[in-house]
Amino acid sequence: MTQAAHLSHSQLVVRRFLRHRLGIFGAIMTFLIYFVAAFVEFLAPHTPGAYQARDVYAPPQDIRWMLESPDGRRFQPHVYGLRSTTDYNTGQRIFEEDLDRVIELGFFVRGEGYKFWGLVPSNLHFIGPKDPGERVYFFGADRLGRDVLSRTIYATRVSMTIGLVGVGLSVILGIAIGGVSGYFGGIVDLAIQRLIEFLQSLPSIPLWIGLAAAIPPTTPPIRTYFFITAILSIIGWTGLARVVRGRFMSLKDEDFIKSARLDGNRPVRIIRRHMVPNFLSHIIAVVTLAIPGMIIAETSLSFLGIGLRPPVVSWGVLLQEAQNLRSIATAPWLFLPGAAVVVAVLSLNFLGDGLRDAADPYAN
Amino acid sequence: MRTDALLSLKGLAVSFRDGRRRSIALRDVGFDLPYAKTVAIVGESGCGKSLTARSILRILDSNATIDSGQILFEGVNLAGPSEKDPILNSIRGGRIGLIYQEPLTALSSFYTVGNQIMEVVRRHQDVTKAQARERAIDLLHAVGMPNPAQRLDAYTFELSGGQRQRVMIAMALGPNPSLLIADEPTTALDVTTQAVILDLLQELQQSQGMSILFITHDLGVVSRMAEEVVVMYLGEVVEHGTKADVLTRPRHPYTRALMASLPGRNQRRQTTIPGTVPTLEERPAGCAFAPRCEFARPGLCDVERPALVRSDGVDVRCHAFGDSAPMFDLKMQPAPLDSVANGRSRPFGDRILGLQGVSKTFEKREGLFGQRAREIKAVQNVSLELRQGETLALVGESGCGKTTLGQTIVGLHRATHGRVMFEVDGRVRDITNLSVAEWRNVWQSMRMVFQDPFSSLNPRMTAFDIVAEPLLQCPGGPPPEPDLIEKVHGLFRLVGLDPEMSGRYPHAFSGGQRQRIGVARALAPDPKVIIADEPVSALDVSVQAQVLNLLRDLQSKLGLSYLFISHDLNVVASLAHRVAVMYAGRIVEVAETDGILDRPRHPYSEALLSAVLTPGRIHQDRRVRLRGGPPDPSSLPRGCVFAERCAYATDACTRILPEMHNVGGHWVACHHTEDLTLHGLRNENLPANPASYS
Amino acid sequence: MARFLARRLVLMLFTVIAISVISFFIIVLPPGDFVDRLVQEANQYGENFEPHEIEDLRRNYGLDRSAVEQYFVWVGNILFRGDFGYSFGWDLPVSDLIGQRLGLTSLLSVVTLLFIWIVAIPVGIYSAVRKYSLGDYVFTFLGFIGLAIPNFLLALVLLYISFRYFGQSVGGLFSPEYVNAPWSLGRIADLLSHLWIPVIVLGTAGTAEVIRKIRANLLDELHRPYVLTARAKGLDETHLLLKYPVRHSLNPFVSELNDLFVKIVSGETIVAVVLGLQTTGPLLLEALKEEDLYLASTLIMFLSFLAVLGTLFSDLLLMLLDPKIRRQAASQEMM
Repeated sequence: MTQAAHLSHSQLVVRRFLRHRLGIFGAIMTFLIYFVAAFVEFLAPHTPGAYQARDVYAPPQDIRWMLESPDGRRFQPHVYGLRSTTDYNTGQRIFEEDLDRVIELGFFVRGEGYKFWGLVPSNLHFIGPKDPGERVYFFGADRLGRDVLSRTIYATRVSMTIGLVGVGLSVILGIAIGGVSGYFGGIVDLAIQRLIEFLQSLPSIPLWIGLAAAIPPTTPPIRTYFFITAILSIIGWTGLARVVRGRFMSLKDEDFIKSARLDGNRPVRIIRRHMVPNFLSHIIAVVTLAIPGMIIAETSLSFLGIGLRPPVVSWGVLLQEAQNLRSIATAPWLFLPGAAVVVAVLSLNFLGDGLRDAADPYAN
Repeated sequence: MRTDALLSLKGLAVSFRDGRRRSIALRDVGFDLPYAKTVAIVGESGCGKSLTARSILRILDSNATIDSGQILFEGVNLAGPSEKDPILNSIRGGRIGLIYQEPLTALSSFYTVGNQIMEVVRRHQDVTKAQARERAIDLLHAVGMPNPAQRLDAYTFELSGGQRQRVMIAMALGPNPSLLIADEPTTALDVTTQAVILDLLQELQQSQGMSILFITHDLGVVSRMAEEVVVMYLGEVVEHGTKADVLTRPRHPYTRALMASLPGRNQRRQTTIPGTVPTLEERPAGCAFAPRCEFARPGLCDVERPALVRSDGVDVRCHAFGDSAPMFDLKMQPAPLDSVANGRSRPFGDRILGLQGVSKTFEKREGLFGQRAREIKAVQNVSLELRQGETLALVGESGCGKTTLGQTIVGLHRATHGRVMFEVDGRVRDITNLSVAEWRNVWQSMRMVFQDPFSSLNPRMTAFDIVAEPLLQCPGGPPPEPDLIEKVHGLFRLVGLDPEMSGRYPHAFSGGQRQRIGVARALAPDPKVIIADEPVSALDVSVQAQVLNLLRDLQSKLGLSYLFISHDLNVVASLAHRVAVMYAGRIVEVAETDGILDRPRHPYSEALLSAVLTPGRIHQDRRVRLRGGPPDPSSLPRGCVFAERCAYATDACTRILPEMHNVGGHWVACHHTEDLTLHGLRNENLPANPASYS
Repeated sequence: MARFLARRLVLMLFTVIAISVISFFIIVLPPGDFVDRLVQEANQYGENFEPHEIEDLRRNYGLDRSAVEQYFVWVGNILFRGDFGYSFGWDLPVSDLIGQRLGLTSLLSVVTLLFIWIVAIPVGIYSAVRKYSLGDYVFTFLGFIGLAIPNFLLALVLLYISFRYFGQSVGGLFSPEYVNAPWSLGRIADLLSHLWIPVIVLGTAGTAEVIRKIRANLLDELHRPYVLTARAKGLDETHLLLKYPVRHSLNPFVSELNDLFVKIVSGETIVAVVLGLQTTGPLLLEALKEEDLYLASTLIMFLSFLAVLGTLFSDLLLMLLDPKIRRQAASQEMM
């Protein structure tokens, strides 16, 4: 208490959050994931569309660290090339390492060209084969011989931002409608509450599917992206609106808000200076906890083939590859995007939990 | 050790664990509770009263442990066995009953009260279900519950506060315990209900021969209930003796200061205890009370912990009574008398605020689409006036509409009917229909202080910003920054706070300090009228006295007028010049404070006064007790709102609404006031100056 | 009581009307209809329709009328003739297509709900009472994982594991020999033996959520004064826990029950597609992709209706459990 005397409310929130270990872990992971999303072109060894027919369903290659060469052992990360044969009894291709073909790996190597954020041309890759003509598959290749890791990395940007944008739209709708409901009260409030209850009593996935199916397959990717976020937030706002309204209602009756009125504050300033700072941390926590739901929803829709569509890469689109038993039996590494979804959702949940607990620093 | 003790605590020590930190919560607590007697434990919040009770029952939270000591009850050491020992389960509830503060939350709302009473009976007595039911009905009857057989099937939310507490008592008495622990059993209740419950406890004790361990912060309740008193401070027993000794001739400086800080009757400044009770982590070395004690001797009191010594039949934990007694001279400094006296004869200025027939009705919408509206008449036809420099108290029990009236006057609610006359821009006018912009001018000269010092300050703003807010938002625009800083720092000094602390956030202040910040905020635009809604009820006695003194000083310095809303007649008696008594949304009597206190004219005022407990006063036998509860504000009776519970009511009272009329200087709304001789507090029983003990 | 029920039913009627509107217009309003799809498909095969042929097709399917008109015709037929329309894609009446599938969806949803209760309530209670024990940590961890795995992914993983390690396919609700067989004891047994995989897949997220909620609610309740009262009465600890805090903590859980049920019904659509269940999910997806108007609308309407039934059920359950609501219902009776 004594050391806390000079701390502000936000500092107390931060202090409390720092004591929440899972929350910190979630925060670090979330930061890393968004970092990846920001630099996909640079971090991925290959571009998502690049394929190599002979590497169809190539298995993951093991990274070796020390290279034996005539001049002795030295540190040189590398993988061995792959050689494939076809088993004529089963018709399956069998891959084995070609120990004669060493593919040396390097950091900050030159490889396939790309445009960073679609703007800046470059060919620098964080990691990859030193020889730009070679291809490596740390997490195997898919049905067309594309690098699963690179595609998963590229998908991070789409999937993680769709959660963010979707939640952003929901927040705007939720705060606007929830605020109106809480501020005006009475009949308006009653009507909005009934609407929210009604929307929440509907099963969301069939509705999403219904709306998403209406997006023509010929729609350009960017438009599809925004349609999907819009569709997700059509139902997503209700939960947030409820939280905002609840906070608004309970704050409205607090003595310090009454006092702010008597101090001569105008409504806008009461909301901005006295109310918003007091529920901001709660809203941030709720919003954080809403992002995973959006990510899962996008993934599910795209997986069903009615959300985002190739050539856009999102985790859901990639998981479509794993839709039938045959392909996952042959290439279980196609689950990699699924693992990415789980890690992202877990991290955001941890972060959100930590934020929620920290939002009320005076509670015991 | 006395042999007639039912319960005997010896050297009880309890500590809390928080991570790796341990803090001592109870230290060397020991006292005896004789058979069929009542011992009261008193002290301010955080002194370990409730913890003592929980330790006896061994129902401590998992972070608290008994470190040492004995709890001997009927020859069994309760501190011995593990918490889950079956012997404890047969004693808990069976031999020792517990009732405590909040009967609404202390009972489950999912089971009928009958279920919860029968459960404890069947747990401890070998009876059939039918027998248990009979017993439960008998118990409810014994605690004075109307229609006990029917009430057995009621849920807690269908009962009033007083009825719930009766259920709690019935439950505790179920298996005929020999000890009843009553932990603040009446704190959440209104005074009139409290009076009835205390009567009941006393009757039950006499008829059943129980012992009662009565825990309370209220010295008035102690003087009404206890035979012996244990005073606790920061987890230690500091004084233990008979009621007469402890309340009329207190020895320990803490007990003396506590008694002295009780509100008196003559509007003088009160003696106060500086500072607040420290937290457990900040327990001082030496005597726990030393930092706040005016007699503390450096080098002794702040170093060596005093032992409990016996002095004239009273146990005292103070160096002034042990071997070092010669070092001390315990003459208390009387409160600085009349330096700011604002006695009752003081002439008041002009009328500054006038209410004419003010009513406030709320509409509650019900039904699926809000199609049905129910009218809740919170305030009805109130006419009052407040003069410059005057304190008008608005008293009444919870739900009587006093808070709504205050908030309606200040414009937080819009009055449904009536006029509120107030001077705005040099012109007296009705302010009920002002535009929001005009209200802002009103709010410069009429301000409000709220009850809860925790919820009335924005936790996200510094104390400086909170106090500066009305200056920044005033219609004339904010003052230049140097002026602002000077003004705010001046306000801090005015309310007795160090301007150095103005950069801190509310959580860093104690309850009393927060209330000072609230007062500073109210004073910022140099107001004329302050509406204070229960400004001291959330505070401990010693802090309460500090804030009351502050309000008194400010009034005489600045010529303020107060509308002081309170349920506590002791506080009102010490502060107000005039009192308005409110019941069920209506004012039933208005008169000078002495007039009301000594010779009330309305039967409700009489009942209220009869329930008031003041330590040191012998409580008269002629008690007026109210049955039932106030009427539902959505369906008020046609006639007098009090008729239903009034001992003097006649047929006319239930039919005709009494008008306010003047009788001997009192404005009273009662048909029979001229025919009645009503009784108030007898002034002569009050010590003239509470600080004169020693 | 009867009045309370009547009010609920009236409210439900309004809800159903709103649902029918939404279900219909969600399909009709976006551009494109079944005929567009046909034309598009034909184009891919190099065939071309004449404009008047397209007009004829539209008229045949009733798609030439305004959306509002179509809606009233559809609703009219449902109300007066029990006819839910005709599936363009299957060339069959909608009611023939959905009957059995709706039954299976309902069955699966209800069984999943029961599964969640049976697993989550005891685990939640255990976790709260033994807070920070090893078991609590394990369940908390599993709960986090359960929440983080999308249904369909869990289904895929289970498919993979059973195929890889047990060499069998676990998809579907029936073994091949029973898929189109009439109902018999054998078919029921077969159904039950297949049901557990979809139930686990559908129930995992819900179970995790309910465990978390029960744990948090119960932790709140454990320190309430009434628990102290019960303890001070000398009651046995286990009995006391179950009678008081557990009972209290179930109340908020029941009031959120409809949300849970809605989520199950909702999630069933995707799980059914992945696991190849003969329920409404795959049919709905197909119908939506083909703009099969009446089939899609009817399915969405029934799924929503199912969720609303769940709401009604949880309202009634809450009334049984919560004396406050029960008394309110009783007092409305008297008014």
